[in-house]
Amino acid sequence: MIYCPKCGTANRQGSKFCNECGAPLPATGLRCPMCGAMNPAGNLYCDRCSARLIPAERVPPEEEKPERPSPPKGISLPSVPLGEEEWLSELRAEALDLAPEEETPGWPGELEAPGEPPTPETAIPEWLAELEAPAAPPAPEAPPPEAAIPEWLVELEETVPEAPPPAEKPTPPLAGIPVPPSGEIPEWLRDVEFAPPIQEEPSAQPPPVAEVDVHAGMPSASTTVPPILIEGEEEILSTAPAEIPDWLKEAPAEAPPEYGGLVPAEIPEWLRPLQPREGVAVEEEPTETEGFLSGLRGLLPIGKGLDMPATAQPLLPRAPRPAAVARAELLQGLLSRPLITPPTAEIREAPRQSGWVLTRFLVGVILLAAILLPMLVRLPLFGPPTAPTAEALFATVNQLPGNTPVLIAWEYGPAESDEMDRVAGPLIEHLLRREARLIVVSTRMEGPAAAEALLASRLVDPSERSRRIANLGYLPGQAAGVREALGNLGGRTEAMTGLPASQLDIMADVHSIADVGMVVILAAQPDDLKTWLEQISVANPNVPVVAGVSARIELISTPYLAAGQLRGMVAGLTGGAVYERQLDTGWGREYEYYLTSLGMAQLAIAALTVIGALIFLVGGRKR
Amino acid sequence: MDRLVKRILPTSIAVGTGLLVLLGYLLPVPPLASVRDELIRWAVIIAAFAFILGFFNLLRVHSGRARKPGGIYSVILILTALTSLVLTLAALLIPSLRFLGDWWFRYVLSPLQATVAGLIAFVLAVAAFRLLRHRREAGVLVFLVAALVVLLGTLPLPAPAGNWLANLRTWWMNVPAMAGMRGLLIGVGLGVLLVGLRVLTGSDRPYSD
Repeated sequence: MIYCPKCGTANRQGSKFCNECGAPLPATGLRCPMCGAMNPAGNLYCDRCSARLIPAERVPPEEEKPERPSPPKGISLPSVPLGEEEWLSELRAEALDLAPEEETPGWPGELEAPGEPPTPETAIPEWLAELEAPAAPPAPEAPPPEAAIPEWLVELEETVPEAPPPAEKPTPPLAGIPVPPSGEIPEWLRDVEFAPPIQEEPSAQPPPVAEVDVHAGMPSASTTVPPILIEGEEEILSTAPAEIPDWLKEAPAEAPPEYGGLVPAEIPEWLRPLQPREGVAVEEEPTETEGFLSGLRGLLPIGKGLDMPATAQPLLPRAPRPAAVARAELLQGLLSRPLITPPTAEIREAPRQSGWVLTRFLVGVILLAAILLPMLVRLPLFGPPTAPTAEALFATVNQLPGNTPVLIAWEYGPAESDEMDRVAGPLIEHLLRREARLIVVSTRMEGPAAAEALLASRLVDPSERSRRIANLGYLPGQAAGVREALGNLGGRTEAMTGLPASQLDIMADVHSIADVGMVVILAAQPDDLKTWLEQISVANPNVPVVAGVSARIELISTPYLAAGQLRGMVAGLTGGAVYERQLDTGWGREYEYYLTSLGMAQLAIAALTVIGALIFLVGGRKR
Repeated sequence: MDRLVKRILPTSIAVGTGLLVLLGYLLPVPPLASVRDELIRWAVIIAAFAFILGFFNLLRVHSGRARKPGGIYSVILILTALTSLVLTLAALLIPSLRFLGDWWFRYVLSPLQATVAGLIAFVLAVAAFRLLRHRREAGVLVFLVAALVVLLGTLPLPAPAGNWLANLRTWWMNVPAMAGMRGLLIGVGLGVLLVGLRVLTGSDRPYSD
């Protein structure tokens, strides 16, 4: 709380004007002479650094009084005078936690009042004069001395014996402070503006107190603080001339012989770096251009170690690991090598490209000749083909009853149709001859179209298509589509006519795989054959399954045939030719051409393989 | 929330659906079998929509590539895909235009696909010629001998060389090749079983990130 000096009303801390009368309130801050932090009025010690804000009143005993007291350097933080008592040095060291010998607070200059005659040039060093704070506003009228003396101080005076008076009594232009004769007062001290003097009783002798409890003798937070001029403040906290410490009264009786009252030894170490040196130009402090501190000058750069966490451990030099040394040596070796200019790509690629093109050209010519030659010249190189599995399949189909619904999985497209059409053609025609009803499905999108093309070529009477063939189209979903179709054949739609399968005569009694008499898988890829075999074995394991496959998957189909999952199989062009020969459909001449061309191409590839092996075995390996 | 949508929910649906379908196969009682068939039907529908999405994604990807250097192939792909789509839709909607679809399939798609497939024989022939150019190991030599036996054994060569090669080929196909193929099939079966169990237990989540 701040009490109004006019009406005495208590005001909130930090208020500048009285809530009752509007009078300006004294400033509420005390600047710490050590760290510069502002503290609330009434604080005895700084909140930040615990330094004493108000000097302790000490009255040295007479027998311990120094013979030659040093000039005061301030009000609250005096430096250690020469020959000072030991107890006082200890007390100051305890309060300030600094080396007492070097302390010189910076705020004495702040006490210099404006308008006073300047200090002679020789009295104060020039650099110190620059450190002096700007002139403080004139102090307001001080309250009467009687009212300013707090009661606790009066009590202290009554209980504590006074120290013996100084050798020379100070004269009163300085309020309450024993000031030496005008000729002996330091120049800087003359500028200090003090309150009206206090009439002291000459007979009052300070008792020789050796130790005084500082806290017991100090005013509490609610008491009036001594008058201190604060830099930049317009008000004086309060005026209490009686509270001026006694050590200040011990002003030197005679002026110091040098520097106008300042002795050189009293310049502290921490202040010396600030002393300007002659002949050295003062560099203008840079202005911060970034961040929230932009525009400020004189900012300290981030010192070494400030950007490191407190817990960071310093890196200790240690020997590098062998692996790191090896890598460094390898890098050094690579860097020290002369640059190797790679040969141009044209030079390296030209012979290789020509050989590669020649090889491909020769292989292509040989294959083309092997395929076309049988069509031009009848070559009696090969005898009739043999395919036992195809013969077994022919026997199975031959036993099929008439009008039997046969489900055909058409799992090939145009890419494989040149071979697979010669495999599936005789089989389809055989089924048609057996009066079977063909139900076609496919898990390949181009399957229904490929089926339609072959069925149209093998169907003797196109008008019988609707009675003999039902193309149920594409089954999406791979295995799931197959499984769904096997269980719901009657629910599908005919792909060519768009009619529901249930409305077709051919599908009248066919609803699922259970109603089918045989399943034919025409597959050119191994996965298609596996998918159908797996799903059929689950849906209806008793239905006979036969297959027409490409020569490429003949090997992978053989285990299913040996296991009985396939009742018969026709594989490749050779199997188709065997089936065609047994069926005798009139397509034998075409199969003869295909078989001869295929045989010639196989011979050519075998010859190229042997020739190539011999060339590279004799000629060496290329890397 | 993100974890719920991306991991917990898909995993719950996949595991629950898989267990229901599996129970439908193991215990084909009416309720479980009906649920199984219905879930399979849903899977088929979803797969069909996936094809539609794939088609439009193909168009989107190649639309971006068409503006880059070498984008002429993407342009051809887009035009071909759109032509196939239009002709197929026209054949379905207007039966009298079905011949356009048949013509497109017979004279454009079939020759192109057969040509690309026929290049496989040429590439294999070149590879056979250069088989020992880079590697000369025992496995390569065995492969070379097996390829020659199968190639020549398939041919109806006249006796006695033809018979000898045919018998050698038959033995090769029925003994070592059959053994190897059965081993592969058993391995594939065990792998499928393991993958199915991992999906059912949620260890594998190919449907989520």
